[in-house]
Amino acid sequence: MTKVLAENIIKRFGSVTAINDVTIEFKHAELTVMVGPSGCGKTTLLRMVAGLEDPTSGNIHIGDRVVNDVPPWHRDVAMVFQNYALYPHMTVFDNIAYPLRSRGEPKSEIKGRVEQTAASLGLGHLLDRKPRQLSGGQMQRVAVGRAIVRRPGVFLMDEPLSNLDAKLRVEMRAELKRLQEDIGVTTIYVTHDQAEAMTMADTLIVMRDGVILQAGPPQTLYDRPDNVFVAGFIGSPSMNFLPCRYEGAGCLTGRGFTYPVPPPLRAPVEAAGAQPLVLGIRPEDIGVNPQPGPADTVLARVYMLEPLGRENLLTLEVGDVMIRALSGPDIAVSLDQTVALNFLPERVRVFDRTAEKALYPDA
Amino acid sequence: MSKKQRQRLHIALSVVVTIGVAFFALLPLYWIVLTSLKAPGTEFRLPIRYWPDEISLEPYRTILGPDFNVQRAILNSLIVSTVTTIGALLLASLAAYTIARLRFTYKWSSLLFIQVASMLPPIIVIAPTFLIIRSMGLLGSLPGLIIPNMIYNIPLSTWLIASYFAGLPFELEDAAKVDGSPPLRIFRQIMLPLAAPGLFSAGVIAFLGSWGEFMLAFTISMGLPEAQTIPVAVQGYTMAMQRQWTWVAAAIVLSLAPVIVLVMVFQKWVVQGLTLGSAKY
Amino acid sequence: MKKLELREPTIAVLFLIPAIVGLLLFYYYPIGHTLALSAYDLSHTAELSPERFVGLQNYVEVLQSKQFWSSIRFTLFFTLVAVSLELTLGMMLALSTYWVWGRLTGILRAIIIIPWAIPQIIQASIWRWMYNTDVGLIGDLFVRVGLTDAPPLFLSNPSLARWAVIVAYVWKGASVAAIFLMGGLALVPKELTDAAKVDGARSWRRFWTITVPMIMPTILVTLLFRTMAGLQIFDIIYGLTNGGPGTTTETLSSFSYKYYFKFVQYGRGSAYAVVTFLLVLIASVIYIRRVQPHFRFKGLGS
Repeated sequence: MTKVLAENIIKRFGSVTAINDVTIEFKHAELTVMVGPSGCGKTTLLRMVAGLEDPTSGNIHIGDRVVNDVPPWHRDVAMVFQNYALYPHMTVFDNIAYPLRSRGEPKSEIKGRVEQTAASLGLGHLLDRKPRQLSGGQMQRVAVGRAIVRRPGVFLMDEPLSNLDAKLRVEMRAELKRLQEDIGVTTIYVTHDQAEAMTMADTLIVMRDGVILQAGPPQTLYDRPDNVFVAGFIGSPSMNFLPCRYEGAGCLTGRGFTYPVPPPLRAPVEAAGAQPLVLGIRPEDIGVNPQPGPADTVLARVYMLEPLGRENLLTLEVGDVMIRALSGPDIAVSLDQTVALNFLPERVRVFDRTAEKALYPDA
Repeated sequence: MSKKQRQRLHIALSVVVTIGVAFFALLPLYWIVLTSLKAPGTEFRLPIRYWPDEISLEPYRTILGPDFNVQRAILNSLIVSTVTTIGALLLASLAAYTIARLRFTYKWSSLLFIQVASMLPPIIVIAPTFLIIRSMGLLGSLPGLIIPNMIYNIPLSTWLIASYFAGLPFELEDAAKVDGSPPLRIFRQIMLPLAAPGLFSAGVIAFLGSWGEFMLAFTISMGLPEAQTIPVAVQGYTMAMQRQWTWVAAAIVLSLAPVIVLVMVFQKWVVQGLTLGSAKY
Repeated sequence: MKKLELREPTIAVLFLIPAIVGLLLFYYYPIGHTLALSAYDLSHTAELSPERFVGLQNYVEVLQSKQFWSSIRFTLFFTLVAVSLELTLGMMLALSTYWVWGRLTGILRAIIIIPWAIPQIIQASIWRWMYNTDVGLIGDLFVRVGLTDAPPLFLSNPSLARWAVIVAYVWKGASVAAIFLMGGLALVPKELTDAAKVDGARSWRRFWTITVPMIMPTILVTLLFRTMAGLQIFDIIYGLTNGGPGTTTETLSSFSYKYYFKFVQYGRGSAYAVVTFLLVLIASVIYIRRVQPHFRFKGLGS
């Protein structure tokens, strides 16, 4: 059992606080993805697990021991770096063999394990090449091979796919995910790409400004975001936000629209009273009606229409806010036309605008 | 003017410029080679001849003969330059690695301490150095020359090698640490091999520098042939033989041949090395 | 068995000790010693058991001597003229390697680099022969071109000797400056000059508005190095004129050396050396102040 526990971690660089009292457990054999904008502290946290940075305070546990004073070369971790960090003067074979040699494994065993690892990654024919003779995807595989060859207790990946082109990135992410499932090693994965995070994670951690905003299964973060940032960060195209207030009579009112509060949210919204609020709705949960009727309460002007083939992406102006909606491919609207919008009531989320917190009935 | 004409003009002007630069840069060397190939005594004949009438190897035969110690001086220079270079590279690469890569509180003060030394004119250290070498009983010996020379080369070599180390990706060291190597092994197995081009550049520059060093070599050699480097010997011949310029010229040519070959072969490294330290910002 | 395993700060200390000790022994201790010697009367003794403490008297005597003022004047004149020439010629040479027809670039670079490799003292010998009064190449060229009727006495006419030394020195110095500047030019992104071309800037304007500002740090570093080299000039003086005729081409360094090893007056020699050191120090400080805003040693900051 190799779980990793970061406990009350604070990290300061001079006067800058990179990580502000974070406690999080990375479960055994799971793939945990840390995602967030650059500078949110995700890479710093990863490097502390590796031992490449020391926490200013707090403890890192790997398995059952506190590893704060254990240097990286004695921690049972392997890491894949953003720029792969292949040793340029060594062949592919020597690169993959390096962690085994560093730990003094017997020569006979090294050869077998390197060849086996290389074969499983489709690198068998490249063992004599130097890194500069490889393509980006091949370098990526060598970096992975170097990390898995010694069967580490923890596998750390720092934006491993960000240097690949878009097509390869999608392929590799499936491959990495499958590999992780097969070898069943506790994995911490850092990325700034929310799509990558969603697709790969068993557990997803969203960070911002050195704190964890929400952690849980990706679907939970998608369906039930705790706050405005997570709601906007997860999902693409991202969630729309319409500033509004609760003005009694069961309705949310914003500039250019009123919307009846969905019944399950009535209690928390009423409790919030006259606070400034935000209504959140994902583009795929908006129905667009080209012929507004008298009963429609949300009207919008069509600003732009982008056909994506399978569907159309509409940019719409509600009051003075631009929002986006996905509609079927055969919708007939023209620019500047007024349309009516229907929000799926069970998919509407309401946030407290000041605290940026989501309002849920059971909270 | 058509494009083709302009191009032709450019080529023609380029040839003119190259020949012009070659004329000024190489004229002194041409002149000394020409003199070294004249029969002794004929170098003072008037009018001056710009082309060889007849080639005589007599000056070389004489200067390499038993009355002179050119071979010994060249050998001394080779020994001094080689040992100095190896020693300086060794000391400098350790210091450079520390300064460029290690986490260390006194990094900046160390850098300052080393680099300030490079700004000190040799004249201010020459007399005490002479006294130190004398008290070590090494006057008139090669070790007495090599030891201070090695130290004189530390600041520049450290600067060049540190620039090179600083340019290597930090991820490599991180990767090696996670792969299970402690810092000392990372230095040996990863960083030092990767810095080889930088070390090589610094080495060529240190070698050429100590080959041509005069003040220290002249002072420490005490006029003893067994401790004279080739520049000291050539300077001595120049002073002593104002009427035998063919011999002096032959000695000069012999003293220059190794460095010119070295520079031509390693031209790329020299330029890279010299610009490494000066142009990085 | 647990192998000895050193952490970074320990390694840092171990790695630095050899270099630091070496520099202490052969740079910092000697400077202190020289400063100390300059405060003693050490004439007529090679033994350096300090005979008599005289405080600043050596400096007072040096400052009162005509020789000192002529040598400092020549040292400064030499440095100013030589550095200006080196930078101008060096820049022209460096630019020419970029300007010439592609196939000639390599040859031109090889030619430019050769004088750099020639030891200064050997260079002095070569130029001594070139300046020879009877059969010197330079004198002969002067006559042929019609500048003079008879070959001038380059090394024995005081006003000519000054220039003769400078020309011989600049022959190599321009090569050194050119190598530095070529490195700087290599760092100017081609898109930048291309952009300026597209914007319609003529080559002269491109040079002053794009190239020069881009390589300013290199220019300043080259200036610093060449100025320092000029202020401490010794080899070429020693080999070419040995300070003559009279003392017209004596520099601070060459005088200092004479006081040390010819007249065996360590106190006086040290005073000259200290003045040389101060000049170099002043020049360095001025330049470094100007260079610093441009100058970042990559990777050292973290």
